[in-house]
Amino acid sequence: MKIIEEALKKGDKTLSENESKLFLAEYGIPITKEIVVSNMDEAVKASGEIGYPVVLKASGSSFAHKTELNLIELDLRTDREVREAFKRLTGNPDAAVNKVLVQQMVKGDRELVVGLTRDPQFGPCVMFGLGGIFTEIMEDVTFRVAPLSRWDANDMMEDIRAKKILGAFRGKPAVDRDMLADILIAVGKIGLDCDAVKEIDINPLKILDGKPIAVDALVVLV
Amino acid sequence: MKRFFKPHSVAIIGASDRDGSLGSHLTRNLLFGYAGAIYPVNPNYSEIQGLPCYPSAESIPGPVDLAIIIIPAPFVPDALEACGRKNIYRVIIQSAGFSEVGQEGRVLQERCTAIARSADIRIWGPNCMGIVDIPRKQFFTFMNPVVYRDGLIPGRISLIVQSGMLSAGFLADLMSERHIGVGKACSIGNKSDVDECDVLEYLLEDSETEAIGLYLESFSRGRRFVEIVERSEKPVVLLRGGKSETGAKAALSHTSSLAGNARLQEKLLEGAGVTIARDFQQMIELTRALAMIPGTPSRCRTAIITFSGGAGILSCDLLEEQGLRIAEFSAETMESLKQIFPAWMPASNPVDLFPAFGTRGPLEAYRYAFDAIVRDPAVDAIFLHYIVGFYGHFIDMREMKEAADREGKSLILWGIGLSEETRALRREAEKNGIPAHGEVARAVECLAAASRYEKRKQKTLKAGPL
Repeated sequence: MKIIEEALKKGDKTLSENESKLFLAEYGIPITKEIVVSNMDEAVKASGEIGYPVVLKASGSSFAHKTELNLIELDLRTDREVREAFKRLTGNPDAAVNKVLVQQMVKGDRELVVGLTRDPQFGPCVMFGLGGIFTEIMEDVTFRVAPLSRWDANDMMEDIRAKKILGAFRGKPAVDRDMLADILIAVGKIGLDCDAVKEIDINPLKILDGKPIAVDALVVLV
Repeated sequence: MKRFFKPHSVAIIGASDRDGSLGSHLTRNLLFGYAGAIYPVNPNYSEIQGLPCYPSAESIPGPVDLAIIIIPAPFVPDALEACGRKNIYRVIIQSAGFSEVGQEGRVLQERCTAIARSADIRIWGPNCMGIVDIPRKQFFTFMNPVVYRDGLIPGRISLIVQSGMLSAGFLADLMSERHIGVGKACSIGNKSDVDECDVLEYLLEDSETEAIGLYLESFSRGRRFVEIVERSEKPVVLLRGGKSETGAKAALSHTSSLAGNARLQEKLLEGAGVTIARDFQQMIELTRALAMIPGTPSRCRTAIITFSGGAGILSCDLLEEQGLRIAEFSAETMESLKQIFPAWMPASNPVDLFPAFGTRGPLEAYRYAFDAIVRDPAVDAIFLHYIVGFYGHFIDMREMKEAADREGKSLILWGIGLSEETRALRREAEKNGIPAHGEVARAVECLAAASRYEKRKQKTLKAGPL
């Protein structure tokens, strides 16, 4: 909650990716290991702590759509690769990047999306569906009014066309539905607890060894 | 709410004797079947349609439970104040010319709600067709009496309709078709006070209503609506008009942009247990099917009985498309079915009875096959297809329904053929509680909706009482 208060004080419209995830983690949502750094040496040190491979992303609340701006460097495996990536990010002509987020690289085998929106009639509503870059093309999502019961959360998983994606899949284990339900319920709880949170995107919520983990997140403030 | 639906006395503010006027329709409609006291109010008459007429609400001698107002909008506030002085606490304003016509009308409507609030009056409307209770022959509405010219088919489904004219059109259509019965039809108009939640809650408690169909253009209290449906023990079907793009354009997140185009509303209402309809006829047929076969199990292993191989194939395709299972008959059923088929015809599901005509004749073959299948424990539902007008009358529907109830099976009928005979068939089915449909896809949709409803009921059980 402190994260939200501070962002509001600064007049931010959104939380940065790192702040968003730290906020979600307070509600028990699993997130990637990650550290915000401001120079190259810190980036290398952070990479060592997190363990290779890592991802570098431009950090700051103004970078809501990083892929479009070339502000993500994926699958970096050595100190040298981290240094080069850091240089590219901070030298990006289209964006003034002062801080960089060093993050655990989660390959995962499936991408889901979880979100929160506020409907003028129905209040806070939780979204669940197929995530990743095709979220808006497939539009395979469903919604429930918050708060969610465990029954609601499980029902949502049955309510997308691609529901088979949650089962065992190409030698990968089935998704841990209890953990996934916990995440959906938690997002609904945020909707009721925090009037200052207008919208949330957790996209992608990747599946690693059957366990969901928030790899990118955006919290939009009122 | 009860005083709106079952008043002991009704004042008609704006009653008239002028042929074709709304006030005249309203008076005639009340005289048609309403058993309580009727008090026409109009300063220009001393008598209307044989009833003494009063110059104002206050001059009515007895107590009045409900006033129905059908006078030009600018005069409504004064009439409301008179109702307040007369201690009339329920008022249906059927006049148009309020918030639906813009700013001036909005101001007028706000004035009415303010008057009502200070006088403790509940307002239904304005800009609505009021309440029709078909089993009671109560027509609290200005709609043209020609609507019930052909007689009424009382039923156990009730409707809540936001639009006024549309509800009249729907009712006219239903009543002249004469094979789907309706209980109460409630046109709620601008919902300045009484809204869909109030009426829905009343109908959920109403012992004469088994399922509710709604046509809504907006929600007055969305969260409350969801709460009510989540705990409802009766099926609720919704047709939504004027789908909104709530905030989708200004959204920063994917979540909010994906919420647009009514997807959010539809998904969360379905999640709460609402069955979504796409057109009015479908809404009615879904509501009726859910009222008649609400206990259809979600696995819904379905048997198909038909005279046509093509109808069997088509039904199977559609059933599978809707996620329903085609039943695999028990050995005993297979053995029974073999008895009526010639040796060259293997018995299977769908049961195409045409080859059995030679041995038993169509009606006897149908009855025999039905009797065998209805007892099969591997069958949850029986999809009956019948072509009317060629093979004599249909087999006894009461008998079929009784057998199905005894065995815990759902029945649904797809009937086609000569038009008059088809209507008669559907009416007969309606009377016996078998949902009958004129189109195969509609029949399958309704069976599928009933099977999905079973799953939703689990949620109701979990949610507990409201």
